[in-house]
Amino acid sequence: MSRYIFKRLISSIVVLFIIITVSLWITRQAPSNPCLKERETNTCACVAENKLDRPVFPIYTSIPLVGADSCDLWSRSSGGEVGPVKILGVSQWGETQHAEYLKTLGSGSLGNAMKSDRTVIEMLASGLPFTLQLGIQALIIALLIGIPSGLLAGLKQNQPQDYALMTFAMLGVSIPNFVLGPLLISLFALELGWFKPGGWSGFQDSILPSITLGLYYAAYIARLTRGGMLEIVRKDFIRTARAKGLTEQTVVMRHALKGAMLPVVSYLGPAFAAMLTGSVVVEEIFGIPGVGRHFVLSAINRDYNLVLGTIIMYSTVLVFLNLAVDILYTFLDPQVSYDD
Amino acid sequence: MTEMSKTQSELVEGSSLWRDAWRRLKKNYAALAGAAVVIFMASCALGYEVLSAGVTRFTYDEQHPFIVPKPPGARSVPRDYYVLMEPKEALSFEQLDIDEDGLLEASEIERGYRLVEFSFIDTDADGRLSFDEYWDAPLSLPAPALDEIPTCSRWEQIRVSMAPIEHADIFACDMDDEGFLPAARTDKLLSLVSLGEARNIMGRLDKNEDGELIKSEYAGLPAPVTNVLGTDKLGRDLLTRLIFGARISLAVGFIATLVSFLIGVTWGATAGFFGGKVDNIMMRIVDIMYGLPFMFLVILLMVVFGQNIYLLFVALGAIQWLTMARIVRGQVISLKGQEFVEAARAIGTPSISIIFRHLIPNALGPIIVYATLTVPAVMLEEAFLSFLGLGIQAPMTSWGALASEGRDVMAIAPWQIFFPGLALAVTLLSMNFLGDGLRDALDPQLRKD
Repeated sequence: MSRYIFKRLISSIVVLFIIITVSLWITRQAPSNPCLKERETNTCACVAENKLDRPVFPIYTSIPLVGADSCDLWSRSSGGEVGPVKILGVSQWGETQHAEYLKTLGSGSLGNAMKSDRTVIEMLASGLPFTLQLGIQALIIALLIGIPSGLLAGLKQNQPQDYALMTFAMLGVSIPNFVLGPLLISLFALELGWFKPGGWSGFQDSILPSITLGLYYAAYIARLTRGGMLEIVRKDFIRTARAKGLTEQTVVMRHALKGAMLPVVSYLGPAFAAMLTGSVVVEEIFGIPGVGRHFVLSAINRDYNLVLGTIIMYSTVLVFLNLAVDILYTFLDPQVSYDD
Repeated sequence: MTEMSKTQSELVEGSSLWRDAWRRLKKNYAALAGAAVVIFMASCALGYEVLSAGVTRFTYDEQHPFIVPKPPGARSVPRDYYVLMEPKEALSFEQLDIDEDGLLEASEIERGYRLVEFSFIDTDADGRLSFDEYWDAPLSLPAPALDEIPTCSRWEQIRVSMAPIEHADIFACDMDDEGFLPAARTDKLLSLVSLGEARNIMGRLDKNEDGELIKSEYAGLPAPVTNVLGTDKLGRDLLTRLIFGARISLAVGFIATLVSFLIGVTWGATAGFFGGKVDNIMMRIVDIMYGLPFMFLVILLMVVFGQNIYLLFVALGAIQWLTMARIVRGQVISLKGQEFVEAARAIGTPSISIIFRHLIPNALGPIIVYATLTVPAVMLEEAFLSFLGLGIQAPMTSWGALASEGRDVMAIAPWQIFFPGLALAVTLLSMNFLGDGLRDALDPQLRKD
């Protein structure tokens, strides 16, 4: 077991390395830089506006900034190890740049956000509580709705309850959250006035976004649970349990549930990944200042540092969540053994 | 049991897998309805040019930016579609030419359209609007800046400059003593065309292009056409844009699925066929990639390289092939021990043609099922990107992009998010039903009942 965990840890780190390299490579292929369209006389202003006059990651673009050397701001801070002159020196591109980036990452920095005075870490840290709360609440909603409905549908297979629940589940996986969100807003916020249509000042404001984000996964988990349940109730050990005269409740809760949960558990990793992606849209719709919103804004503003920082943080979270889910899986399913 | 014996007896009759599947699918009404909807949407998407010219009468990028957004049922004068209204009565040359100079000017054409629109809204033709007529008329909704109830004095100030506002108070401000809105006070409400558009129309009617429209050239004004689902804030017809958006949304769905199909089938079949170390490494790569936040990489790609639709096809396809690879590998592993593969190997068939000529055709059932379920997933992702403003760019559009535009004006023009959302949800629902039905039909073992 510990050997398995160790192996998985190593591969997780390799994965992270690959993600960082790929994102870095993509960013470097950018066919422009932030000041490309400026006239040369404006370059200095543009440099200042994009915070390039301070140490940023040496990743910005392979297109050099013409005329930036003459900027006053520019030469002043060129002394440091990750100074801006280095950033734009064409000779710096390539492996050196990659190594430098990893070195900076290793020192626990993600650089400065380009369109803000704050560092990337500060921005992510300010958004993370919102995104996490949203994600966790959505997950709770998904599990609380999805598992019981899936179990019920599985137990009442081909009966009206099953059809009704599965039709709802099918609806749930077919309505995009950016349609559901505005729908909920116009119904519960604008018509009924129960909630605020946007913003985030407390738990009350998190209800609609969490539902918007969670319902899709509730529907998906319901489908998974039903499938798992149908498979498990045919197994011999369930028949044995019934034959022993155990109550239906005990059979379901003590024996069937654990097995029926396996597909759900293995879905949790991808689900959390998808939820982080989905929260980008939900944050956008409800105006929540979470990481997803930073991400979209930075993408639209071409703030590559913040985009890269977000991707690296999300990847790290997801890679280790997947690891945790796989380990959890071994405890639930005794047939799965990783001791090879 | 009965199912099995039935299958066996049909095998004796020589029923193929596909005929068998079709027999099962025919009983699944949800899947059939889904297929019908998908076919309908696809034909609309393919027939955009025909529908645009023959049914909606508008093109997707044709703007009528005057009093907008228009609600469903409102009318506009299409740019390219001209059916002339009969130049009779109020629309006769003499009636329109109010300054009696023998020429029709743009302002006179604009007034002519106001008369047309008034007769359209004034359903009892008594020459004035009752409150019910006013309320039922598809007039533009409140301008964004005026979400609070305007007082009459304020309305008096702005009514000369602003778009009309559908509001009971406005009616109260403008009505006469008997509680009716006289035709004379409806000018601002009823402007069907802007002065600029009126000038364009005049240009079209002016056959000798001398800049003057005289009586011999005038054969009637082009008829307005209903915007069945309303318009957006540039006056573009929503139904036409939905049809055009279907083309983009479905194209992304199908092409990206094809990309994922090609990668996944090749990858999975290779891994499954060669087995051993190759399999181990290839599938480990798939395992690792499963947990990655690919959407973020796609977003990064779109940010860096601009919103290129071909890049979108490839990028979305490239993140969807993992499950396909797993399914194909499983199928290939179970197939490759069978006699027909051994026979092919014995006669010296190269590995590549064993994979592509023998193994993959036999694994086609589950592959098709999964491909059917990939299409809605990809469409959802495209919509997601377009919603964030990172997918399809204007004036092209997709359902996601339309929904995104609609969200910004949700309070004043709810139809703009409702219809694209509905189209997307109905199509995704249909595809999911069809995919589920195909799975049950093609692969009864996978069937969860």
